[in-house]
Amino acid sequence: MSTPIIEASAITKTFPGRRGGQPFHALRNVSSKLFEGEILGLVGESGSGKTTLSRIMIGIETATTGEVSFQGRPVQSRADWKALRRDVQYVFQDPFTALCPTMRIGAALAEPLAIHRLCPASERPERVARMLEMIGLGPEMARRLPAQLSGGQRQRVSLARALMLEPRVLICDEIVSGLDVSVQAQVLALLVELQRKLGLSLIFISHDLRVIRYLCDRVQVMLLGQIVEEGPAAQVFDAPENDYTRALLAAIPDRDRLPVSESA
Amino acid sequence: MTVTALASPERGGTGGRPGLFRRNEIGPALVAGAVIFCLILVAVLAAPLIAPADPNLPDLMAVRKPPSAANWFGTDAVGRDLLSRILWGGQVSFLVAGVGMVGSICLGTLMGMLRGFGPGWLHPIVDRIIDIQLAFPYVLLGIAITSVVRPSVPVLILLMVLAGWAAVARVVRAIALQERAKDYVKAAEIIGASRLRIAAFHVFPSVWPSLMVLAAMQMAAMIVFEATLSFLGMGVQPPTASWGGIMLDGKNYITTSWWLTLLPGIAIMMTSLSLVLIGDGLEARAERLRSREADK
Repeated sequence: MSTPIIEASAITKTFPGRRGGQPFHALRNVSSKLFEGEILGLVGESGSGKTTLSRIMIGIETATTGEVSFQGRPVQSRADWKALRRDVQYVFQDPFTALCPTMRIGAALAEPLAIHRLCPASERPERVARMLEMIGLGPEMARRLPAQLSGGQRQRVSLARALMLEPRVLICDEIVSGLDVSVQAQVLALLVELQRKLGLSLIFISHDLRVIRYLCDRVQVMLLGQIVEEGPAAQVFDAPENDYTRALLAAIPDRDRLPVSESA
Repeated sequence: MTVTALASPERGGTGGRPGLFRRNEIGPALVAGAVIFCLILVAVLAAPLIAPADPNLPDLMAVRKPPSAANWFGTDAVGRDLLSRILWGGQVSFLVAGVGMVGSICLGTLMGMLRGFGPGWLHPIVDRIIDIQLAFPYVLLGIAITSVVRPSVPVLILLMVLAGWAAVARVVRAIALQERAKDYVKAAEIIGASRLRIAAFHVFPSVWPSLMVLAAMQMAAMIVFEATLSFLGMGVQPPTASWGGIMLDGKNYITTSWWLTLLPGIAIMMTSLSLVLIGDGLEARAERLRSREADK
């Protein structure tokens, strides 16, 4: 954890208001860094700017003002878009819309390889099979359509598709909030395992503080387009400095059963 | 994880019906339309083999004979066998409507996808072209063009394409814009897919079912359009038979020789009806598949 792999400085994002209404300030002068190999948690209520910030950080949305750099290079230019698309991947919140409904799982997983010409066409099925095994799905899944999979299976496939490119950074946007609790635990365990195995840098977005506490090294708490508190996860959870963070922590149900709550 | 049982592919089936019918959800309208259309198509294509007489050979000794054992559909004003003329004339109608339909589907899809995935500066241009084309009455357009250029099969096909593509483009545009807003398109962008790849491999398969419906409906409309033009004398020129042309020939005898107009009229009606049935059936099927997907 030495150099930042992604660095966003003084990001502002403003969406124009509808029909003369007030413009919406999604992000107000936000700076954030993601270091090599760490898991960064972004927490905050809906509409606090978590998703917008993460999308700006990986270059799929542009900031109104501010700068993003990836390994020291600015991300704003679309010139090295394709190269960037190899190294930085994103997993969507809703596994039911993130997969093309007409494309079989095998084809969806092979597509990143084809786009970036990572291996000869003849090797693709084998790599797809290996990836399916890694995420704990059988090879027969390659012939299925997304509609024939459960939510948890689809989310694993989304994760697998992002990992096919062997990215260095992965952004997980509320990837377990649409899943039921037992499936959540499986997907999270898989994520942690893969992160360790592949040495990924991870941004994990969630409004579920228990999940954040379980996963993350560092946490940023967002409120109304600003980062109100940040620091190592243990510190933020055990000794929150900001009133909003305290309120968030107090709102966790079954808080007494959290391993961190004794000292809080 | 043992959730596979929840996601069995055969879920939501309609019960007892076996195999193909159950899996593809083919409805009775689709079957009826397809059977009628195929019968007509085969008969028309096989005209050289099954037509009882030369369609252009007059027989002035047997003028305007009503349907009989010798001439099943009777004979026309110069004694030509009407059944043979309807079978051969169907070839012209099917050629013009069929090629015209394929052309308008292709052009319409291209323009619709261009509107959905092409560069931004093209969007208003494509929109205005579609609007202008839709606002222009195509029968008028047909009459205008055929009164300047001598009508022939290629000219008629061009007219069919012009008359049909804008409706296709509008539907494709709507679907493309609707799909483009979905996460899976963004996800494809993130893995580095080009717009062309997204349009062709991700979105086009979602457009396909609607294109099939449109293709059937367009072909029905073009059979009628071609007949209309021919009936107005703007179609393929005599002596080559086409369904509208045969009706035009029989128009003057409509009070005395009903078969000259009624029988080609029935051929036109049955053909377009069968195509509409196919279109409705495909649409209902697509709807069922969609709603089943939404259930999951």
